[in-house]
Amino acid sequence: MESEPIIQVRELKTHFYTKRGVGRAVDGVSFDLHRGETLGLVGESGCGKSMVCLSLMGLNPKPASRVIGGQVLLHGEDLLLKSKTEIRKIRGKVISMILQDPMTALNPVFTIGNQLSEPLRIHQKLSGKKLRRRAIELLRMLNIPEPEGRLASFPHQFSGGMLQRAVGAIALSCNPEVIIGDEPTTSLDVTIQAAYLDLLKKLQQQFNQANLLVTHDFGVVSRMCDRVAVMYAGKIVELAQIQPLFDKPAHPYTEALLRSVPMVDEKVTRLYSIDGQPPSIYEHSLGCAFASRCSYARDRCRSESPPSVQLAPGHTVSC
Amino acid sequence: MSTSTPSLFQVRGLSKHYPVRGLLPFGRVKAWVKAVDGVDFSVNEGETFSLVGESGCGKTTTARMLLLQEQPTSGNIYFDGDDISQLKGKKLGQYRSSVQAVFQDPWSSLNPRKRAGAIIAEPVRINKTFPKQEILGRVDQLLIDVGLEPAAANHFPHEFSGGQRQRVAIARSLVVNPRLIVLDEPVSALDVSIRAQIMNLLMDLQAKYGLSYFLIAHDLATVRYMSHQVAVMYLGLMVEQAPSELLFDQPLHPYTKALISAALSVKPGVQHDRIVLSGEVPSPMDPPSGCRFHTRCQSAIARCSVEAPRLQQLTPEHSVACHLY
Repeated sequence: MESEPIIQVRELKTHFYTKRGVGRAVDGVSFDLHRGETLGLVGESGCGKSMVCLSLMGLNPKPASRVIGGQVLLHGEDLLLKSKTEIRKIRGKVISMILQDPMTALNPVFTIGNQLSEPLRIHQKLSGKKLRRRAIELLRMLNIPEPEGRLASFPHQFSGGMLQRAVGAIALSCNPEVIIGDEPTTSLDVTIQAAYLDLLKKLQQQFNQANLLVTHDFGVVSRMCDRVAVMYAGKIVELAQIQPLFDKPAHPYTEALLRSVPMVDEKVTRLYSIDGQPPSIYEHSLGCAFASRCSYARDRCRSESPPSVQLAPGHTVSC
Repeated sequence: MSTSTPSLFQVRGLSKHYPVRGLLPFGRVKAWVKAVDGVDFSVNEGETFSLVGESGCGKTTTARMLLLQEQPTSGNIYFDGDDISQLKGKKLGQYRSSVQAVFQDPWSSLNPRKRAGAIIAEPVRINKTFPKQEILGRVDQLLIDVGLEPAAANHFPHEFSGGQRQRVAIARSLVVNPRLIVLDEPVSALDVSIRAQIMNLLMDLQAKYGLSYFLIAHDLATVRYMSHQVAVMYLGLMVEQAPSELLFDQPLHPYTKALISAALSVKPGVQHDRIVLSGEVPSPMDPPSGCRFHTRCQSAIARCSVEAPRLQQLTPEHSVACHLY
């Protein structure tokens, strides 16, 4: 994992400009993504984790939001400086995405085969028999039964788990180097979720891809990820290897989050609960955004924004 | 959990079958979807009874029948000894106020054009449980009970966050002094840090008012945290039922084992042998013969595809429907 990172994100800032003022959805996020690793991006809704993904791909809603600073380096080239046509050649080919809800990710009036072939036609210039063969091969790879017949099916004829696998097939179609999964299993049943995650993990190892996995479920994180970045109010508050993060969470927010999750494997008598709620992106505090909910907060926390400190190699925290 | 606890609900052989018709509205019935196909259970006073299972296994249909939103095809529900399908007039009204519900999505379960105070007071105005003068005081008290300020009564739902809205929904369900609350996925639409708040609140209220809960959830961790009794459903049938700790520590039915092993542990590195279920839930319109789970079961034997196993009591507390036991 000490290889050169595929993607380096440096001080990424995406802000919303609306009538309510400036919303700092992503407020200075930096991380590296290496080949063959899965980085989890964890946080509550509204903390900016989805916006990070969308901004990487240049898909953030425009004109409401703008990437106002930072760099997204793919093999050293800044994606944010590329033109629309150049970005289009990367999207789906080098970086691809799996979204949360497969029902809305696919177009209901086109067949699965049609939607699966689209990236193959555009990026790999396949056509005719070759195209069909590759499409069938992809569906088979994702364990979809009878792939030949399934190409002509429409999305409504698939069950949720199968649709999500079809979306996975589309994402993997051009052998991308990076896959961004935005809550890929939230809409699935537990049994289907477990099978899907195992499949994703297996394919990732087989093709040595880098995964960026956005989720709010620590169960998914502990099964899938090598490293975890915890986000709060547009910033990464803690970034660490998975084991140290779960064993010795350094940031009070990480600690509180972990203590507030009920366990399947043991009985918890009383859960810890974090009071209050995450701040709105339109409220800007001088100090640490978590200070008002933090049980360790001191005066300094409310007046100064904490810098990112390295605790151990690969473990950074802003507190 | 002892057998001496009086049971509030007794459910016997409860079924709900939906007809599937042809294209014409009065066309012939082509098939039946057996959403719930003969389940028995009882809910004890002051305890939480949970139903778990994959989507489409009949959890919500069962809850809807308890709430009288759906007429059972067959079977009986006894509440405090009375068959609820026979209730009329005043008794029916009383039943309706003693069973309330909190739904999954607090964005769609609260009327956006009413203030929180009016939303909470609505069940009392309909049921006339209290004189009008007392309603306001009651609303204030409930808002405090669920952890909101009495001033919140004047706010509209859009002014609240998700967790606060769920608190308003809980206050609304409490206003008529119910004895049982149906909780249909009460925390799954909420954020992680808010979930714990709401679960703790529900448990505090249970202790304070001696409430029973009928909990439907797909997140097993939530179920384990909140329940006393857990029943596992698969394709309209109950496959296993036991006190919560027993079920999680010693699951018997292969489906329960698979469900528990599929639930993701929050501890990294915990690797127990995972049972990955192949395939999807079969259609309830055409359930497999014999044991409905045999198509996905790893320990299926020849008998499973022919003969349907009955739910049998292995110990007074633990019942399972499987030929292996």
